[in-house]
Amino acid sequence: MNASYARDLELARQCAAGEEPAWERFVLEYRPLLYRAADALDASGGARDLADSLYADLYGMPEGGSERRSLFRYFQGRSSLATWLRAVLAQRYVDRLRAQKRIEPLPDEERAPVRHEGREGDPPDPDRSRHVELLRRALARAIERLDSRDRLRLGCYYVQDLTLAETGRLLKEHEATASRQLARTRRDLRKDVERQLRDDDGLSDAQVTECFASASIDAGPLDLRLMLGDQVPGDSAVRKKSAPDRSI
Amino acid sequence: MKDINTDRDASLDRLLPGTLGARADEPADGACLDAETLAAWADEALDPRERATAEAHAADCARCQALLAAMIKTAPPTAEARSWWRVPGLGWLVPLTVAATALVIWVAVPNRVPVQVSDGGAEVVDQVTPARAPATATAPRTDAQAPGQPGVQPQAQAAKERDSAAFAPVDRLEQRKTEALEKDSPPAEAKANALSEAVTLAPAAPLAGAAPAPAFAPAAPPQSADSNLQRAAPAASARVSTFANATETLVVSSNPATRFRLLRGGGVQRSADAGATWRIEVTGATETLTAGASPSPSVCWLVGPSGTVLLSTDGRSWRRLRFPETVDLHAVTATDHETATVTTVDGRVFVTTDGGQTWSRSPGL
Repeated sequence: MNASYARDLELARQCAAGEEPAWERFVLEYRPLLYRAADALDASGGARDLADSLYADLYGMPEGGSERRSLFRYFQGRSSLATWLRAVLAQRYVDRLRAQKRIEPLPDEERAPVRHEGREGDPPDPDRSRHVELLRRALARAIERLDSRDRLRLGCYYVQDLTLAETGRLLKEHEATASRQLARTRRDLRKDVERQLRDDDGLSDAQVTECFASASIDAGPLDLRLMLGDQVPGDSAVRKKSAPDRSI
Repeated sequence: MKDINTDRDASLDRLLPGTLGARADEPADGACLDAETLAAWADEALDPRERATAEAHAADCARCQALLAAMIKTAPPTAEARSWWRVPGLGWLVPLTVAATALVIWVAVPNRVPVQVSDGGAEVVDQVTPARAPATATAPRTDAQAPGQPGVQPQAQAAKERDSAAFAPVDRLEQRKTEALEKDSPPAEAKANALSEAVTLAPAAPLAGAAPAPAFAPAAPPQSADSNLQRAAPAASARVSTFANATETLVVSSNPATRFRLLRGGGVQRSADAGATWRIEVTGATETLTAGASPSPSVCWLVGPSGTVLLSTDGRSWRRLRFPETVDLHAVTATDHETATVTTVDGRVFVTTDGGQTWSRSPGL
């Protein structure tokens, strides 16, 4: 075990055992870190209450005279204590966010923006929704065939809205590598989708082109990311809107 | 085709978030990542198998992707991107390392040639004569230094020995050449006189009107083989300095800030700041070039074995010129990018006035 992790483990053990000097040291060293992490998750300070409740669980408030059960008991020393605390905080934050999303009503259909129509004044194209659906299904099958690491990279970038640098950091690869891999994956997806539309769905080249064109006009009402808001709030102002262009 | 692909990629960009989100919202195989695993992932403490398992699950799990994203967003900024030289207390290592490297290069790289320009514009390269050689540790070194000859600094001698060790196979050949030359050579004074004659009779003489400067080569024939004293013709438009049996040959342009260094194995380097920094030139040459002439900073002629003639007219790119014979060339003078005179090892002189497209034997030589 890493020596610093061993020191952290000892501190956690002492805190779990209720040793006051250890707890004071922990508060002094780690309280600012936890608050910084909470603010990074929610800049409005909405996650600070999670940090405070985490403190209570770490201290292990006794319930009804029973023995105190500190959350520190779950720290096994496989990482630094600071990273583990961030992980626990992240769990609580994400679970709360997902629980909130589940009980929130879905957007009112009547107030939802009409996104599936073409140019204003154009008559509805009966083939458009079929084309988009064909494309969507082909894309889902193509994603299914991807390597899990490629799927994770796509998810981090397109769903979690991480930047290339953040995506690369998560996958332990350089930002440039993440960019290159994303471009390659998207290229592979396009080729697979085109092949499926031609070979499996029997579409002509013109119809394949029409499918993609329909999707460019209408991403469809089933954009679950927009509807469920699964992404973690962040600095979306600096987010990209399209993958790095490595078209050939 | 590119436009179509770009448009289609844009369409996929619009569909990907929803399609991926819908997929990740379905239950994924395996258990979600616990805090311990998440933290170990962030600290790179997972073994490869654990890491692969965790990635496979997270690839299809919206919750775990969100957890990983939250971990990234709460990570301390720039901690992992800090360069070692930015660590407090280590910054001083950078200038120290640079200085030490410069010192090592200074000592290890042989044959720095002092270039002096006389009042008449002639360039004089004198590497050994005590009256002219600078008495500093930077005194030039020549592998062809005659034993017992004066003017060799102790440091230079030591460096020469190191260089000899580093380039042992080549230097042994050069040493044998030198020994053979010395065996057949007259005593030192007579040799110096003969050399003066050789310099006087060098290829510059018939072209005195055009006033090019001669270049002397490492593999020069006996009458000009002694590299310890080389002198260019007066009023040279192209200042050239080379020295024999050295590991490099220096070619100084009419603007002394521009210099070319010919290294063993065909390497050529160019300096635009009087030798402070050097840039590797791509010439395509694979054999050691023997001499060069640079009548202007952007024009340089280089010659070498087997009729090798290279010309650069823009200071960057090089082209190999066709020479009428596959004979070793040991000297070149030039007045511009079109006119040059090349001397072969057997003393014949060829002239071109059209940038190397045609060559003619110089009359009378």
